[in-house]
Amino acid sequence: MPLTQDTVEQKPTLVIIFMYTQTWKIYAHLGHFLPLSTARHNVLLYVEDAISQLLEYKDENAKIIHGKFLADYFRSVHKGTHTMFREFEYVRATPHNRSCFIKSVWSCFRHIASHGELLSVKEYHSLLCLLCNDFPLDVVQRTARIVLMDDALDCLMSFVDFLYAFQIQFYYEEFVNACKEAYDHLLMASPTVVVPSTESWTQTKASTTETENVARLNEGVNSQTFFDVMEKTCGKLSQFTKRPSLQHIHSELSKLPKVTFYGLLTALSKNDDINAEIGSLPCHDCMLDGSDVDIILR
Amino acid sequence: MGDRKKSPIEERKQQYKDYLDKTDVTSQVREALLKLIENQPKDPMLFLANYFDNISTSDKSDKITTVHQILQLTHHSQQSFQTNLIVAYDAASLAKNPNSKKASMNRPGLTGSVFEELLATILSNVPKNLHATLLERIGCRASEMVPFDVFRYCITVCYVFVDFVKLCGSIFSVLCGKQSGKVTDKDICEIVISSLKDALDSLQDDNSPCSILEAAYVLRPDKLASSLLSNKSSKTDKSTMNEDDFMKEMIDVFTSKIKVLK
Repeated sequence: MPLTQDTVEQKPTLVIIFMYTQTWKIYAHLGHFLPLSTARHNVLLYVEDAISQLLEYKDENAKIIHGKFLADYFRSVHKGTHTMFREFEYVRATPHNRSCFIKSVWSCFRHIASHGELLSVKEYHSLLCLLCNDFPLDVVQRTARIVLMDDALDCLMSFVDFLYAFQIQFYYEEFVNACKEAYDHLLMASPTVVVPSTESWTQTKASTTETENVARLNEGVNSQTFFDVMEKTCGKLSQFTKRPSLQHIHSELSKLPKVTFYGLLTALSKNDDINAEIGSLPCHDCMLDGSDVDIILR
Repeated sequence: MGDRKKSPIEERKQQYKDYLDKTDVTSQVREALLKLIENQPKDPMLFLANYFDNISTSDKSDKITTVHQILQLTHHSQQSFQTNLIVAYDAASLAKNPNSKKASMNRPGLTGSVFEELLATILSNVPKNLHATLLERIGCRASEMVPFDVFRYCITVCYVFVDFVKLCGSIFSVLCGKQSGKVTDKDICEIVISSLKDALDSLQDDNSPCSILEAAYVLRPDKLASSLLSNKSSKTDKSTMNEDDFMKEMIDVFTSKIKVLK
């Protein structure tokens, strides 16, 4: 946890506690295993947030039992109810938070699925803002790109399609961004068709028409090449960044010789194995089973 | 260094710092993190929730509950359980009233009555008929003082026993298989029970790692499978055994190996 000028200004509570308690000294002694175990579970982040919440809460309520407040906070993190009505920065902060938020969206709005209504991007955004008031429109728009295959983006979408695509876009955000970059590079590097003629080779390359570009965009790239590039991309991501397992990505890519980026993402959003890996939503067939009580207790 | 006018941020920081110190939150969080690092639980959030729950009720709780909470921090197979045993023993041995003039009240040490109560708390989830024989062996008289070695042995035995009871329950449901009833073929149960007995009997008294491995070898899956398969006799009236009897017999095998301390 680097103590930069920004950190000091934004999180005074954290700085106070850790400097004052000299916990850093203890951490230094305990060696290498500490960063792994606490980083894997993001313990420090939750402790920081617990203290910040406590300090905010005590300003509004004079009577507060600190032990009980902290116990309730950690219990709500354990149960998964802690992301409701929190700011976007917190919701997005850890994989566990993201997964719990996705689950809350499902449990709160699943009735839309049973009514079969189709909604627009703006309407889905409003719904998400009910649970997280500063949720960015950008994320919802990117989700729409997945559902609608980057086409006719003012189309209406079903709740089920939206939710599974949202899961991929939001839970695997860093992975999706890295893959998009890799895909764009691959697209640029695709060899042009060299037409044998009296013109020189460089001239042929320069005369690639608009239509050829669009055709290439629609066809996508070679699946095997894309998989190799994705493997390399995954290797560069931090060990704590969540990504779908390569085995499932490979099983989707091997279905077609050529694939577009959004085509792949749509396929991943419909893949039940990846859904089970994330563990927030039920399988596609069981989407409408169970009452609300079941969902919250699961 | 002259008196600088503090910026609003610094003043606020100081206010927060003073508040957290005054309300002991700082020290509590520090203790919690240290316990977390020491015990390395699989679910840190649940661990922290239980820890702070215990803190908030600790003024009202008595010695037994505090000691029990310390022992529950980690599983008995973990290294940190040994440390927790020491801390628990010290907590249990605290004199009832250190300021009292009466000699019996201010003498530190773990009394038999406190010890018996603690054992009962640990075994509270196990039905009484099942743990009665165990308590007979490791209990002690109220007037006796309990040294640390005895304390460590008995507490560990209790926790292993609790796990053993759970294991026996799941073995029985496996033996029941697809039958929904709570009874199963008596012969199969007897084979399982006698395999366990043979394994424990073959343990030499010295408890060397070699003899433990040899005993465990007796319980290997293929040997158990072959004994169960060789039982396929065609008796028309197969006697059955229910869960209570099975549990009782398994527990008898377990307790026969426990040293009698009383």
